[in-house]
Amino acid sequence: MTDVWVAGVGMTPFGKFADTSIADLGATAVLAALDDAAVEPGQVHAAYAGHARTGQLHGRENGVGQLVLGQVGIRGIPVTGVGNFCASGSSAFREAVIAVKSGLVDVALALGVEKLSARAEKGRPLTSDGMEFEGEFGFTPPAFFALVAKTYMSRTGATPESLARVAVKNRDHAKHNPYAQYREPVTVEQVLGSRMIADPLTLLSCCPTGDGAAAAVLVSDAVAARIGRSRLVRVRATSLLSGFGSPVRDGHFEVDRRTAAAAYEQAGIGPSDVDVAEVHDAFTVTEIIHYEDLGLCPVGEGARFVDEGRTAIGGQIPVSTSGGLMSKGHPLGATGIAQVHEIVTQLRGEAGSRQVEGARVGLTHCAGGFFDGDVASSAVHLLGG
Amino acid sequence: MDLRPFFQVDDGRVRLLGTRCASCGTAAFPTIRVCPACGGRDHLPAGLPARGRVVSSARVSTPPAGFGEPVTVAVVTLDDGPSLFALLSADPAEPAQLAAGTPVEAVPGPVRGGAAGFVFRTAREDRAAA
Ligand SMILES: [Zn+2]
Repeated sequence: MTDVWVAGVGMTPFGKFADTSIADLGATAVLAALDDAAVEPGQVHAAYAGHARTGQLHGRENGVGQLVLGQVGIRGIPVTGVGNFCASGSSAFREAVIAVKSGLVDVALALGVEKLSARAEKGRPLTSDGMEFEGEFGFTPPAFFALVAKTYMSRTGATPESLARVAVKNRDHAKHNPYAQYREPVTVEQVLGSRMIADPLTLLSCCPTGDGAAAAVLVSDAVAARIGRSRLVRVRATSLLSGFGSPVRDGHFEVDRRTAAAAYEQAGIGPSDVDVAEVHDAFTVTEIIHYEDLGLCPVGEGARFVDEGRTAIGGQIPVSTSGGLMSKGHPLGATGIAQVHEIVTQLRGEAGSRQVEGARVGLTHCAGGFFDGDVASSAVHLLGG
Repeated sequence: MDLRPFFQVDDGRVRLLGTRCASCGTAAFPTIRVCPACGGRDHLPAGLPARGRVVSSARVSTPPAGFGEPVTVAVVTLDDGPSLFALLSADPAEPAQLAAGTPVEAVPGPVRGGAAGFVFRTAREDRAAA
């Protein structure tokens, strides 16, 4: 069976782009990824498009892939829309990996796009699909993760200051990332002093929304040999599971533990082999819990891990070197592929001032949506090495 | 969203309309088809008493549209087993937040937009005994 290689990545800056269409955002990312891979539009054999809110906001529940690819002259190939909440981009990437791995195609394109600035309910948390019933009782994503935070903090003694340090660290990373929406530094005091959303999560403890697109070109061994492997990054594992646990009860995400374990098993490596990670830092507390669930630090020591700077650039295992969702914003469908963009950039040694020295193996983690008391999806990818 | 398919009020007491396994008694809310405990296919309609304990609660300063004031929400595990996302009573006589483990019960009360639904409050002795 062929290995699968990331031959190229591309993305738009993330921000609020009221005057740019989803077609334009997507096309910009796709062209950047194709150019990065030195692959022509006509050489793409299959494409997977991640998007989550284009139906509600843009009247395009389906057909976003065709819309974007029509802009760049890619027609007459299998195009599949992939919706999986915040993990839509990660899931589109996974489908493209599987398409190449299966041997059905030699070149597959994964793209993700979202334009959330079109939504009406500004100043309120983004709602989540399928949570209409819980919404009658005041459910919002920050409310849910506040409940998880309460349990985690009571179990571990983690303090609001430790949580805030995630936002401070990620914003510090973002100052070196031209694609990030917010690049000004913030302090622990600013994070804790910003408007309360759902206790203990303040405004600066929650990732902002945003508009943007990201794309990746995946190729087989045969195409990799033709392109030359010097800048190619191998996909070591793709893992995706639906939720089954009780994070509010447990103070952690059992689904993430199992998703990550499956990824490490596929790759034949362990968490100590990971040099750099992009995790789903939708909320400060979740990044800390993800350290533990992904095995990057011992259970119960996530807060200490960020307090000691071990997940900062220059630390033991830098996390969210792009600035994370916290600084980039979270255009749902684009997020997972933007994480791949950052890891590929790091593993190629092309991350400039935010480069993790000697990074060989990288991890991406994205969770998405909600179902029956848990997140709906958890996606983990291992790249490089 | 119309909450009527999800609950009933009998004699002032809220019952949640879930299912219960005919084979092993495992309860579910909302309804399901196959028992997660034994695989049985007979999960039959059951009115579950809306009594349980707080797993975690949090004050939400920025609630979704349809709520004028901050609200307190929780995850509650029912005595029958299932857990649900719950709105806590805004009654000023109720504590602002409820510690994990606090016994609670649902009473009819307004939800989003003032619509008829149910809210949880600290359990009363007489009801706990009933
Ligand atoms: Zn059963």
